[in-house]
Amino acid sequence: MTVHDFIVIYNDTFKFIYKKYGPEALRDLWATISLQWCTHLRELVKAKGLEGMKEYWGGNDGTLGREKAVYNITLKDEVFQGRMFECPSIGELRERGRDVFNEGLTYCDHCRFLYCPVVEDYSFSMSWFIDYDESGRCTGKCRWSSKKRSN
Amino acid sequence: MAPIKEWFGLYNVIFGWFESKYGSKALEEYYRYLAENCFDDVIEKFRIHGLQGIKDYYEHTFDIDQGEYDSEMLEDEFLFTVKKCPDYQFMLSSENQYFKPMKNYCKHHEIINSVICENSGHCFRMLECDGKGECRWSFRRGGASNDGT
Repeated sequence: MTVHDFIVIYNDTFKFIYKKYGPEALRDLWATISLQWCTHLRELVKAKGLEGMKEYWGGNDGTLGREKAVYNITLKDEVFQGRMFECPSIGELRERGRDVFNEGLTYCDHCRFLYCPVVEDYSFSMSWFIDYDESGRCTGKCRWSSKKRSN
Repeated sequence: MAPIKEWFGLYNVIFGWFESKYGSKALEEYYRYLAENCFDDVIEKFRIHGLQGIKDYYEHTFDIDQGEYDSEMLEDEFLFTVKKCPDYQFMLSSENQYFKPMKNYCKHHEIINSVICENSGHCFRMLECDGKGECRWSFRRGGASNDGT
């Protein structure tokens, strides 16, 4: 399958697993993706900490730049912050007329399930705030932040 | 949205998770679900434009993913030979150990192409597949393959 259909496939994969195998199975898939796919983020955080997060998400060579997201990344006073103004995945799903996965879990939940465990392994905390509309649907906006965990 | 090549590796991770958790039959059921639910526009294109639509679709798909192929349109059959599979090209170039293509990675092509073709009035056969990124596909009009299978 082409990577150009990936987001549509990803969204329907979540729907299929949730409906057939339940929420625990979907969380298990996300945990596996976090471990097996997020290896670049893991290497950067391990080597550079908050600067590694900035490198991973920020800049034109970062993930979000390559995906053509509209976003902002800052690192100030030992706090990393990301803001997504237009999520490219949600935008594509809407553009292609797809129903965005929204059951007990949502499409947008996958980001926090993928990325938080990675940074937490290196003594950072991470919070993820997803914006939903009145109907509980993802708006394509979110913000996330991270800092060194206090002992 | 601009796709990133790491998503080829993510397909492999998802397929591998599925098979290890639920087995190969469940993985095939998942492929059929994707074919039935994610390719409405492709099925419609194949139904309207026939073998020429199939040719245009796969050539375009492999062009944008930077694969290499030969295609041959015969009177009642379209043959597509994959010389460099973009999935394999990326995954084998990656240092991520989890991007090593799973055994039967290519099965998803066989099942998804078959369902898409059946639903558009065509039949698909995987004529050859070396499991390493080279394969040969056949598309014909009608619901049954030329050997009656």
